[in-house]
Amino acid sequence: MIEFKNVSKSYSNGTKALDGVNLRIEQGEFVFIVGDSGAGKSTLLKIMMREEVASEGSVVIKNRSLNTMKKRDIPYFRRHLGIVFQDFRLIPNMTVYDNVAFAMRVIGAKEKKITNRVPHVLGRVGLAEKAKCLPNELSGGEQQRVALARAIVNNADIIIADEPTGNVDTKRSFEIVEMLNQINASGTTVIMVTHSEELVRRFGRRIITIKDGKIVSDDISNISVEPVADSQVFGDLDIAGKRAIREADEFIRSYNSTIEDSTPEQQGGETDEQ
Amino acid sequence: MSNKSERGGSASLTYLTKEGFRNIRSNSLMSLASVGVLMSCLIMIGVAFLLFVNIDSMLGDISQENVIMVFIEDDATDDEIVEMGRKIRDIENVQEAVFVPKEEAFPEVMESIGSAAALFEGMESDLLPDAYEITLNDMEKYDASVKELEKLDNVIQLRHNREFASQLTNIRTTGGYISIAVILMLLVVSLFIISNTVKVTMYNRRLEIKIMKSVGATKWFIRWPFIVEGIVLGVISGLISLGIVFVIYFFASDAVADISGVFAVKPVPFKDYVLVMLAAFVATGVITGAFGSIVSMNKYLKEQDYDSDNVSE
Repeated sequence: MIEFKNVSKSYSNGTKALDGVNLRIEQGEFVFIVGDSGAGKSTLLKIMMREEVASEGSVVIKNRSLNTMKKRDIPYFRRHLGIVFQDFRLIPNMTVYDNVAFAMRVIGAKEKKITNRVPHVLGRVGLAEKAKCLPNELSGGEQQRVALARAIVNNADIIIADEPTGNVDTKRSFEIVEMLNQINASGTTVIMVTHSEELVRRFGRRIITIKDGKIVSDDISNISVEPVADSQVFGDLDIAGKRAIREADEFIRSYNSTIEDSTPEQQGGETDEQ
Repeated sequence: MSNKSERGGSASLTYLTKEGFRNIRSNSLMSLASVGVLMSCLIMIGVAFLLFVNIDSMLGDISQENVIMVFIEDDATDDEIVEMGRKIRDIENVQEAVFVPKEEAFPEVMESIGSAAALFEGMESDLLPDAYEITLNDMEKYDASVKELEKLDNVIQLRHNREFASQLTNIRTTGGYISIAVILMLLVVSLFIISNTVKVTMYNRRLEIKIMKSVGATKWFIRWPFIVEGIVLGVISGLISLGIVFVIYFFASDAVADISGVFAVKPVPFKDYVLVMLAAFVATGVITGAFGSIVSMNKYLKEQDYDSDNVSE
């Protein structure tokens, strides 16, 4: 459970990034956080990751008060989080396998556990075949899936994804959010920051909109609502159903949007996938 | 918070050490640059050190030749002369006291004055008194030693070159200060260069550090491979530099030996300083490597890294 009570954050330069934010996210929820650049989304995530401390108000995550957390406890707290960045942040000279294993190694996991766990997680994100590849041999979408594998390899309770689809094309974006959906279906909380209204509309989930450091709306999108328990029981059926709708829709879209989606800015590292 | 079970598996020292070596291999170009930079600094320091050691030793040799002559009264008995020798040797700063009987002193003087000796032909060999030729240990205590010698009985005259002694002492002291200053300067310059190299290395590795932080690696877990890397590179640089300094010294000694007939210069044997230099080089390498890593890493450990690249807020 994540709880923000009257949280404000001001930086030393006088910028007020968050202003009286109240927020409660239950374990197992999938939440989109949307807002313009500079709205306060990243500060919100930084506070969740204990990169920053709230100037006012209290933040409690998994029954821990982040305001009073000691520095030496921060690494152990972060092991409950899986973080996915827009720019993937894969180590270029390590193979896919090693990039994922790295997250286990640096928290002192035993090699035997690593050799069991990493192939399993790579299989989950559909990259078992590419374990020996280097990141630059993968497409942008695949790289982000490696980053996802790294985020879940330590059994994180909460996945925090900051614009995970920002550097991949629309088609791959859906794949990534689909994967986050599947991760969420197994009970992991997913918090995803995005600019893409299309994504938000498609995946009927809770949407928190931030503007000028304040939460201006906190709605469930109009397509569907999946309570945690239901998604665990009927998750696969539901996802399959949504996938069928999406595929039909994509067929129409792909007819006229391929060129548009393939501009370098949107591709951001896409290499060999199409 | 953070109960024991949460802290989970203990950090594997073997893994961390292996990681340090892996870092060296996978960043071979930067590793090579660091070793190169550290080596050039250590070689400069080593050469400067040996140069000063030799100058000091040379001045030491010269000052050793600045002996004090204690001339003895003619009517002193043999026992008194022996007793005098004992007393002289008891003086703290006396390294050596050699008795020079008048019979030996005369021919030596004759020889030293060369052709002018002809003027003294036919003179008795006991024209000069018996004497003790005294060599001191420490020229800085020259005055005090002379005062002690003046207190002895049966002394006709004390012949000594106080001015020369004090000049030599001054030169050696000044030389000592200059050498310390030069070595310190080289050390400071080295530290600047090394810290810049380490900073570049760290900058190249900031991604790894950020990822480690974001997945919950402890600070020491992040630091350790870098420290291992710093130490290993430091030791390698230290050993290679010592080898290079040895080669330089070997050839320089040869060159000096060729002209030693003129200046009576005898280079200090390298082996006399090899252990000191080995210890100093390896220690400098290890300290700069390890501390360089720790200090420049702190920047990345403290940095609010999350938004540094692509988030505008």
